[in-house]
Amino acid sequence: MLDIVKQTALLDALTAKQREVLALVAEGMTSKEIARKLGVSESAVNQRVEVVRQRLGGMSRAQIARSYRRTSTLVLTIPTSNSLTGKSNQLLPEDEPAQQSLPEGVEDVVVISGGEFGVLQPSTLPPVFHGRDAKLVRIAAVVLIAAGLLAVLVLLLVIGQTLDQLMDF
Amino acid sequence: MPISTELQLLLLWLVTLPATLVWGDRQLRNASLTFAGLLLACVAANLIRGGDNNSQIIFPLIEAAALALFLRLSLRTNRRFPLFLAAAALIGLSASVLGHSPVASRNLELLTLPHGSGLLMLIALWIATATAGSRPQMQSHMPIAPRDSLR
Repeated sequence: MLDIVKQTALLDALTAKQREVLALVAEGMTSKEIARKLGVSESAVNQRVEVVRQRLGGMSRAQIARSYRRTSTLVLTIPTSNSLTGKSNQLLPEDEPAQQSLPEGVEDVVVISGGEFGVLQPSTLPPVFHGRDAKLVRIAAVVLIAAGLLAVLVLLLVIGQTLDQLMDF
Repeated sequence: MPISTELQLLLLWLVTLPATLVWGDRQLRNASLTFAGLLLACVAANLIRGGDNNSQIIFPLIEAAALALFLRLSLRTNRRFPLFLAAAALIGLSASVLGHSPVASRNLELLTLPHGSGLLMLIALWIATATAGSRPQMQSHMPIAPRDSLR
């Protein structure tokens, strides 16, 4: 736990640009992909990654990515108020847009979703897929989609056969 | 010499490969390569089946592998397209298994991976590639707690 806190402090000391690159590294992107996404050169990305690696004690790229992912989820255990400053640490509920006005002292907010499915990835799924029974819901969704696709295929087949019969007349 | 349907699908996949490489992310590229690998396995299975009529179990095995791989992707990622891939694989597996039963229609073969379900997967990959560029940008790298609160 102490390691995580220390690593969090080290990560917090990084510049915004370094953190931006690190977050994308943690998402599993290559330097080339990050460079394209951020509109900078690949060598600039590599340079930032190298600085981050040095700051974190020469950890490998995979290790810093893992460390970032771990410390990103650490916020789930942060108490709702800061005992030193007295300011409250607030997280918005999942269905509340993050763009709304933020409370004083809170710099930004992210939506917390099911940890197992990777909180760092922007989800394109509805909230119901991130709940406690996410696995079950996803499997059910696969079965329902399969049934739906099958129904559409059968419908197309029937329409095709009907048109074929009409053409014969 | 007529080209088999799985080879036709592989050719279609090759056409879409540049788009996947340019716009797709790692998950999309992995899924696309998995799809191509499964089609290649189908081609190989067809070749094996040509020499041995008792090897028809290979197709359901490939379909089951497709379902397992895409279901795993569905459970581990927050994207929509793996759900459609897994659904298409489920259709393929069902058709492949039922196709071997004497009561089932021979038309079920049209829904297997080398035919209909393969085409469905390819369409799902196309749509996923096309929408990959418009994905919401990640914001989670920004601090979510007040600065200095963790020190």
